[in-house]
Amino acid sequence: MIYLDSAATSLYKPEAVQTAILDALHSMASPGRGAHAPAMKAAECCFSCREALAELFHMPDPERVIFTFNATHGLNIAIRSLVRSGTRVLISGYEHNSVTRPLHALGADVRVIDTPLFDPEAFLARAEALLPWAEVVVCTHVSNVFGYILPVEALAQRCRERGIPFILDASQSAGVLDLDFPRLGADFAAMPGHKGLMGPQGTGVLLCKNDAFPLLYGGSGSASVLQTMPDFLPDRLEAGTHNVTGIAGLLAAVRYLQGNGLPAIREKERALMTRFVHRIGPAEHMRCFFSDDGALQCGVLSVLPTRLDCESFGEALGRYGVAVRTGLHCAPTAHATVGTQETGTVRFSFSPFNTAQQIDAAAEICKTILKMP
Amino acid sequence: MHILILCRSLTSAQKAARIIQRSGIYAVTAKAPQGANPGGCAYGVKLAGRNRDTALRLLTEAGIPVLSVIELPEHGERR
Repeated sequence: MIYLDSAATSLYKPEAVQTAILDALHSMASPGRGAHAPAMKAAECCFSCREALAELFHMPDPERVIFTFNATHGLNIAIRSLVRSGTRVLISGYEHNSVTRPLHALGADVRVIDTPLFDPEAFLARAEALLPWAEVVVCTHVSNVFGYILPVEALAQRCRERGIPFILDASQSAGVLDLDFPRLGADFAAMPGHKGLMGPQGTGVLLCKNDAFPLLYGGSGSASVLQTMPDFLPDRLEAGTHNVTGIAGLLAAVRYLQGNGLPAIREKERALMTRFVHRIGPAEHMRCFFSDDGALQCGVLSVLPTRLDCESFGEALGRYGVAVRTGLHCAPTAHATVGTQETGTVRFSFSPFNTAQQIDAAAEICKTILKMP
Repeated sequence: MHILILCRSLTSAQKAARIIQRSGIYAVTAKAPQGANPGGCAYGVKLAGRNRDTALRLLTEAGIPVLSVIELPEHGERR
């Protein structure tokens, strides 16, 4: 099998992740719930993971690293902390449903910066025009459909200048692009642990600049007499037992990333994607949403076959053992912006663990299916 | 004699322990005895009483809130 769906979940993970999960399963209990060795070992693991994540995102305070179950969980906390019914929220035209659905549920007044793909100047110009209207801004760092790297640093700076709270969805960038959270000045950044961070499913991270409202209420192992959630982080946002096995795996993954360096990982993914596009050759039978500029696109590539519908193409690839994702990728806003909402796309997303041989084979299979020369 | 520097959360206690350990003082995170904190369950940093002043200074410098300091006699009875 050639797995090219790492934007959904990183299937290929560092070996240390599996080892750490198994060790945690056998030796760790619940942090903050006891003083015995298995509880304290779990506590040490969780704190070490907070420290490693704080270091990765240049944060001085590990208490502001919150464990969530996924990026959606973190985004819901962030959005519900800042948005009420009628709040004027500005979003990019590349947002995932994990952003747009909570905004819809809250009754936010939403406007979209719906500018073309790989055109950061147009994006910032449109943002500039809409920012005076906005009370909150939510923006993805990288489009999960097209791999487009949005100019979030410049957008965040404009938000800071106007005192507008800013939420970053780092779902596709965490573990690939460097994120200096304090320098960005965002109020929140949410991310999954199971994509670029290479941890297991069921892990996620929310970085908090300030306080937030709890989404869940329950035991925190602290201030137990109170019937409100504690007023300090991380306990305020972490009700219930932690996913300790997942966090142990995430810690091993983050240490792997720190050991290898994000630039090398990004370069490898980008090189594999470029190789794939070049092997596919002229785009007569398949439109590739590809930018030659490496600063504008991560290792996520959407394509649109001209002779087949996306689902049939994806199924055919599956029969050849190539795993991709087809459809709208839970991001109808992105497809509306690019004009692919009627067709969807076929998404190839690359991992540093993919090999050049896999890429060449996948390209040949594409050509065979599409009967390209 | 050992002391327990009571912190507002387990994570805060772990952060405090790291800072104290980095100065060369042996310190561990430990659960506070019931009743030590009127708010309920709490954790702190356990260390030798002779290091009390240095540890408290380090935590003040790092901006880590300290709820209280409990003396832990050898036989475990809290004073």
